[in-house]
Amino acid sequence: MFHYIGYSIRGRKTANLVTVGIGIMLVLLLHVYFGSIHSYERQLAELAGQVPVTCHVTNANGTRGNGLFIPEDLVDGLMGSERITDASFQVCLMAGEGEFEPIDYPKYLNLHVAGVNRVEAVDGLTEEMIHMEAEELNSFFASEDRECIVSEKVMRRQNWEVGDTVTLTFYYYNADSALMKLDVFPLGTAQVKIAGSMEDLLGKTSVNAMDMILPYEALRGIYHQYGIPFFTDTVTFCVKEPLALNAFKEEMRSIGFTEADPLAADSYRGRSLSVRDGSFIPRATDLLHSIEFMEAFFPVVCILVLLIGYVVSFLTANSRMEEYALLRLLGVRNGQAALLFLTEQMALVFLGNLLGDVTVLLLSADMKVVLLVNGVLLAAYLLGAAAAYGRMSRGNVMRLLSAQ
Amino acid sequence: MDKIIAAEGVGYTYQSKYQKTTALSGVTCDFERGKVYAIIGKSGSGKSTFLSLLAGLDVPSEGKLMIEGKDIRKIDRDRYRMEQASVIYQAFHLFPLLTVTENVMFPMQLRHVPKKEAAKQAKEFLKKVGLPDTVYKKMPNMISGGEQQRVAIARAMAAGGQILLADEPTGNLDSHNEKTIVELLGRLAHEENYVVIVVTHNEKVAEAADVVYRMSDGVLEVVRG
Repeated sequence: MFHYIGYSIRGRKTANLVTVGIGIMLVLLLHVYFGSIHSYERQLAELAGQVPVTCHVTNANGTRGNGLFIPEDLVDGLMGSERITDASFQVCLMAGEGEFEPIDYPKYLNLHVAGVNRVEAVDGLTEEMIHMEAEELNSFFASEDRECIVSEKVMRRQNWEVGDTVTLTFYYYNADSALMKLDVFPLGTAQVKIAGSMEDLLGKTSVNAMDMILPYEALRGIYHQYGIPFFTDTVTFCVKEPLALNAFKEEMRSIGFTEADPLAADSYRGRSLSVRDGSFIPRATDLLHSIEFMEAFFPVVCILVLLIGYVVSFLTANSRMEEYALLRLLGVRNGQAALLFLTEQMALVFLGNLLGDVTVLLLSADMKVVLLVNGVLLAAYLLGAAAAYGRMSRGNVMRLLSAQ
Repeated sequence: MDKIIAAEGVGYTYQSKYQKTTALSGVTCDFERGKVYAIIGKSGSGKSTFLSLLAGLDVPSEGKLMIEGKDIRKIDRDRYRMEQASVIYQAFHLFPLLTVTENVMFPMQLRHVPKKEAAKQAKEFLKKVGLPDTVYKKMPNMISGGEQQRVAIARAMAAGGQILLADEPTGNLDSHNEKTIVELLGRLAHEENYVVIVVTHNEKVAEAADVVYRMSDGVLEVVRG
């Protein structure tokens, strides 16, 4: 029975071309619609990279972002979080070469030391400024080994060479009980190997002198060795999924961070979090509103396609009632006769769909959108066409043929 | 007696939204193989309604219509039309997109007869109805009305059954073609053992029939036979 479709497609060229044309037009229109939504969604996904939501750990009133006392439990909480990325930790302290008594520290304590977990944690420092193999550099910051990178100026002054192991006595910063006044206190002595050198930062950036850099975890290990409570000076990071800001903030609260309160007393205690989402939120909100607006039309779009499917099929069915009645007269079952016309109609629309797909794929459309368009078009059109041919199958065969 | 169709008190009522119309009432008759039956009557007398019941396109509202001893309500009526009963009309009703041969092949292809075999048989049927092979590949709109009706009869023969129902088969034909079709229907009944039931206004067609019924206001009566 279905061989009749072949005859029909060959024989009704003009009508079939119109149906294929309608299929192509629908594909293009649906691509405009779904393509717009997809474009907004892509912009939204890319927004996180273009407008990152950065966070700083600050003091209680939000006035200080570095030189703070950020407790170890907060740092560990951040390190274990899946919701942050590009986290930079920095701890600053002083050191002097050799072992010396506390009373002599003004004489020997001449090295500004930082413990960092990545190059970006030091303001103004780049990988190009560090003279070390790239692979070594990556492993250096992740290491717990007592190695360091020393500024070229200090290397010259101290007469050090890369590969030397030097004895350093570290002094850490601490504040009074109110965490208001800073002073230095002895931490301990450690043997540190010079793994590389770096260009001098002073004068090139706005930061203070940075004579020596150690891996963050190596420095933390020295604090632990001497039983001194470990605090981090500066912590910055980005929110990994800015679209899930609420969940992120909830997790930060569970870690122990509070929101900065401008009325709170000034101190060096770092327990508050400043989330810089002022640029991201308005742009993301605009995009989300655009997506919601477009998506609100989805039922309308589906109904429109369904109606077009119904009207085209209805008109086709009306012009082919005699064929339908003839098929019935020859013993073709009612459902089969309707299915025959429906199959033919859907084959033509599918052809139009494919041609439309090829056109939009040449214009570099997204495959996901192509699949979505095909799914919606074929499903909605099929429903409309099925309704029209279902109506056709209620025709009285004898009356249809006798009336001719 | 080779009775193939038997109507016993067949009645048919149209039920529309606002009224009930009785189209047939108490129709009782038999149809045998090898005979041509004519049913005459005015327009609206119920002839075509009776024909549609005989074709299995509808079922009686009352009474029984038996096909080879089986109640038409209980048989697969689509299969009945595919394998036993064929209908031809005044307006020929050929598939406009199929050639003459393809039109005749169509009922066989519905029964899954292989294409080659169907084409061979179609040509034999076309030969039997007296069509020259010059028309076999033509489209229906390229041949005359008489030829189209003969193609319709060939298609009916291709369906394989032996019940041929005709609704005003000569209504659109000139007198020459009318005579040809009447002779052809007679030959099918008398030589091929078909039961041919013709609904007609045409007296010449009725004269050629073996049995003539008259339908009047839904009631059937024997005129001759």
